[in-house]
Amino acid sequence: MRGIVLSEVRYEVDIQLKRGLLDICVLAAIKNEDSYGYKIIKDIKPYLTISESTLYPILRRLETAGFLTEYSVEHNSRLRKYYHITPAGIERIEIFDEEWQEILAIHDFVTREDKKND
Amino acid sequence: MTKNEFTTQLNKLLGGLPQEDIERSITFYSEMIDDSVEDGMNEEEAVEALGDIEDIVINIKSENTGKTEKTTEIGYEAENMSVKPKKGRISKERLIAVIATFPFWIGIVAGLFGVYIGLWGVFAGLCGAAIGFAVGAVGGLIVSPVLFVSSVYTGLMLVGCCFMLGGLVLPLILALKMIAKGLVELFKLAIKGVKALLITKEA
Repeated sequence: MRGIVLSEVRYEVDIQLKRGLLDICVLAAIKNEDSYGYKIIKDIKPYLTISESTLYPILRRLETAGFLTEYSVEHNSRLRKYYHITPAGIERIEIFDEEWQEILAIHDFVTREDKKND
Repeated sequence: MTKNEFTTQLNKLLGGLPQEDIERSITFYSEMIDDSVEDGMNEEEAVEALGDIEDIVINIKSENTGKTEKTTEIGYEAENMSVKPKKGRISKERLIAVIATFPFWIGIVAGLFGVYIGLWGVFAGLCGAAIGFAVGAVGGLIVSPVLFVSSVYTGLMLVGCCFMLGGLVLPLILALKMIAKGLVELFKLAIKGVKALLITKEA
């Protein structure tokens, strides 16, 4: 019973963590240069598994939150949508950096305490 | 599945969402397919690479309702997190009401069904006419040289009649196509109406 509860908690944390990381990865992928869907996936894939169906809602969410804007550019006789990071999006990455330092400190504490038991 | 088939199916499965959201999703996925093709994939591989269309629809719909999207792609079985499209359930009350009023509506329904079958009968008759015209035109043209030998005028008249018959075949085929389409749509509409009457959406 305890195992089930624990795995559910872990599962929830994992999903929330991955969701947050994916949001940041998408913002990072367009931070230095505006990019388009296919390229964003290609850039992120070496670090986190992401598919088109995962990316679409993320882009929608980030746009609604004001972290990015989109515009279309003609490419090979068709329109390609490019995503541009906003100042709020850049700020979000900076906040993530601070949050990550806190996570590292927590990780440090957890492993230290864990080693004491060994 | 080709790009066209994929976008058509996506359009169908997203039915119920605001048109703007549907168009936006289709544009996004069309662009993904085009970019994959540009990158060297063939169209079918590009569509396949997008993953299960059901997952795509769930993710789009969940984002529209502001809930957590399915995240199986990041290596977790997130089935219970996903927001499944609302499934209809047959309403018991309505079903009982429909059965209870059976004597009142059965006559009307049977009558309408008869008319519908009758319309298919008309369709079949017109099909027969089209085939008859086509066979008559071809047959007439084949035998016309024989008539030309006995009388040029009769021969010419037969050829003229054949062309007239032949000329009727094409508009008949077009009309038949439209009739068949209309009748099928009518049937779908009827089924949809029955479903709407009996099935209620779960919250």
